[in-house]
Amino acid sequence: MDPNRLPPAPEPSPDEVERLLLRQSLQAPPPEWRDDILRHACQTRSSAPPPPALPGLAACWRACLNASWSPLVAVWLLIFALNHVSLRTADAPNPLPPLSPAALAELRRLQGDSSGPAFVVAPPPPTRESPPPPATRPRAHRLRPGLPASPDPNLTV
Amino acid sequence: MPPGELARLYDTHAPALWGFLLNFTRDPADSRDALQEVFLRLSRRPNLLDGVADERAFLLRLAHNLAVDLIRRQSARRQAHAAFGASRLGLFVPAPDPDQAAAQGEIEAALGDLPPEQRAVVQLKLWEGLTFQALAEVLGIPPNTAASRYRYALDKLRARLRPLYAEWRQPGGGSHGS
Repeated sequence: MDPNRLPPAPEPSPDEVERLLLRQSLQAPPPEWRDDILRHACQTRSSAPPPPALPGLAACWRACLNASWSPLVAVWLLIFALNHVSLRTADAPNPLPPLSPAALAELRRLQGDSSGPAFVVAPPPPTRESPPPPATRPRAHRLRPGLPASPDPNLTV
Repeated sequence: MPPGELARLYDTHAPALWGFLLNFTRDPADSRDALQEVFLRLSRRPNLLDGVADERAFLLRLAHNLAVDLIRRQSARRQAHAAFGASRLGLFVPAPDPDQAAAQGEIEAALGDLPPEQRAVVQLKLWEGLTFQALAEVLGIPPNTAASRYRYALDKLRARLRPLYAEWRQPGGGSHGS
């Protein structure tokens, strides 16, 4: 017999599908699990730490970090830090710029015109290290420049 | 929670929760973990059921959420477990008749081919007898979505179980209709 000529299988109605499924009884969990699960649950209940009565500072901090407004806290901390740094910078002494040579000359002229020194202008601080003083000539050279130097003046004629 | 209350909840609801979890996860180990977690939650929070009108629906929803979390966490393990899809899951009470046992295997396999969301709808509608409104609340989906999932699932089951029906409808064929 040609299997292609067999009539198609009848289409079951949804009720038949449901009836076929409902004919099966669901299996219960293994009975030995009951005591195990209940004992485990009771042990966990007895060993669980009691909840804190009042939230401490750490809990508040964690709540702040977890809350949706934690970005606001971060921005506030950033503003506080920047404000602190800017205040410290403003408290530092601001050095005056050095006077120009023309201004120094004018000040000296004014100082000379007045009867007494109204103020003394301090010379500008040396910007470079001053050159070392020239080496002193030996005493023999200063006394007799034409003669060769002699370490002992008594030997000279 | 009184000492015997947890045992009462287990005796009343554990079979339904177990059937739902096993059919949803298709993994006995995951189902066992989720079932234990349900009662751990009840033990840790004794007032969890305060004001709950329908204990069964509430616990089924809790079990569903736990099973979804388990499936997400253990997706790699479940992929490896899928290689053993041909083995019997033990969802139904074993039938003594070999023909009925074979039919049970076919039905288990057909249910296993459904997506988990459709399996959950079929389970809650057929074996728990929930309305679409109630099972939609359990699963956290709109009632229309629940109804459409149920319809799609039945269409797939009907196509998959058609040979079983053909045998069942033959006069004197098989013992499934008895």
